[in-house]
Amino acid sequence: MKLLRTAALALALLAPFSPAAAGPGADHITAMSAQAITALQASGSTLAEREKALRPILREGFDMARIARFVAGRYWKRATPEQQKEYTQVFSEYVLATYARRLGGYAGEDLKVLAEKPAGPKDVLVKTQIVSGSGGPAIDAEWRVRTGDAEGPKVIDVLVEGVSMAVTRRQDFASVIRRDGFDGLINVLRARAGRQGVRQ
Amino acid sequence: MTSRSLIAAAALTLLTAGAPALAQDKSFTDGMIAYEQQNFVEALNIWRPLADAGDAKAAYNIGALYFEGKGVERDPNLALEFWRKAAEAENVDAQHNLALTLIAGDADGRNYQEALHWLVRAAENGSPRSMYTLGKMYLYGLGAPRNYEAAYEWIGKAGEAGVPAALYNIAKMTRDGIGTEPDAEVAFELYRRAAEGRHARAQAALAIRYAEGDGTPPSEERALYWAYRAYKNGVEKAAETMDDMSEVLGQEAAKAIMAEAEIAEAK
Repeated sequence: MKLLRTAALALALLAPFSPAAAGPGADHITAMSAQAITALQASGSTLAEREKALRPILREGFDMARIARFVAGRYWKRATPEQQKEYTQVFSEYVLATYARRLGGYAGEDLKVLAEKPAGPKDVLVKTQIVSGSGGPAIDAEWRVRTGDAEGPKVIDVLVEGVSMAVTRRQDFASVIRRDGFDGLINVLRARAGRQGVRQ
Repeated sequence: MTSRSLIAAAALTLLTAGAPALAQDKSFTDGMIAYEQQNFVEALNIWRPLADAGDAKAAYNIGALYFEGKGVERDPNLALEFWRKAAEAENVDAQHNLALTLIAGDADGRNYQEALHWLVRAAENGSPRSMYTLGKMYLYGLGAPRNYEAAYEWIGKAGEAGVPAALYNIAKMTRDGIGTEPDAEVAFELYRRAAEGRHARAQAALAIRYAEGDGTPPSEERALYWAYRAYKNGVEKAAETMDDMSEVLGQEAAKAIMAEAEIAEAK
């Protein structure tokens, strides 16, 4: 299930879009998906470079600081300001490094933006479906997009088959913090972010 | 290509032709070409026999494909197997990834001692990133007793080898006297080098040093310059230094300095 969720998130960002729903959230997801495809199809650069070009798209499209804070849960307030700074930076590095590299492995799937509905006073939930080009089962992905902020719409969570990535990650992080402390979590994230991909 | 380098290339081809390594190198390159075209299955098929025959680079890359789920179902445990095989053959990338996976504990469990073993080997093989991580292990006391002197040594080496985050960390350690004597001037110089390497928090720290004259003669101009670059790189708090310095310098002078910083950051 965890594998499926990761794959679905990766697919969702890459797939050519078939816009069917309108609204600021739906437009945001559609635009990110289009940018990701363009970045990965750029010619004259290595795959590693193209994957790197996905990072600003992810960084701009997601509210990394907010996600980092949410995922740290109740441990956020107990951390020192220095720990909070380092954690936010390392978390962002980890998410960007992981997804940019995995996104390089996907192409040819279709992302259908199906509907947008309000979710609380500040957010909308954008319902999408990822249809595999090779005839595999379709995957439902919902994108929680904060549309009420001044900087424009930002993704703050992804729900794959109804399961929130942020909540799943929060549970994973809590167990690391309970065992190794907040510095331990920073260390784990730094390790996850620091791995390298295929080399010449 | 100049005619001289053409001749050099031709000479190199002649020299290496017929050597058994050439066939393997070429096949490895074929795998690379397939990879660049996102034909991951083909890349895997090319690299697999090479890895079986002991090519550590091919084994490392297969590990990366399994880890990222490219052309195969994602399998961190299998990735770890390939990286371990390549690491045994002194492939430094494999040693590094293997160690980090053992620290992260997201494949078949966490093992700080084994991670430390591979980091030492990778660091001794010259990997700057491994030197940095090794220093952090000593700093936190993971896989070995806490050892500030060893932490200072390895993080310092990583900084010298050009890892900006390592320079930033060694600057903080020098400021606080961890693993070394505290020294504001040396710390300033290390912050400066990390900041030049575009480390955002180092840029913010450097701005404060210029503003307060800590380890350097004070300079409102340089404080604003570095605060602006830090802010551009995502350190929101640097805006406070920017405001303070702009007030002291006046709007016209401040604008010119921020334009200069903008150009430096865009390079």
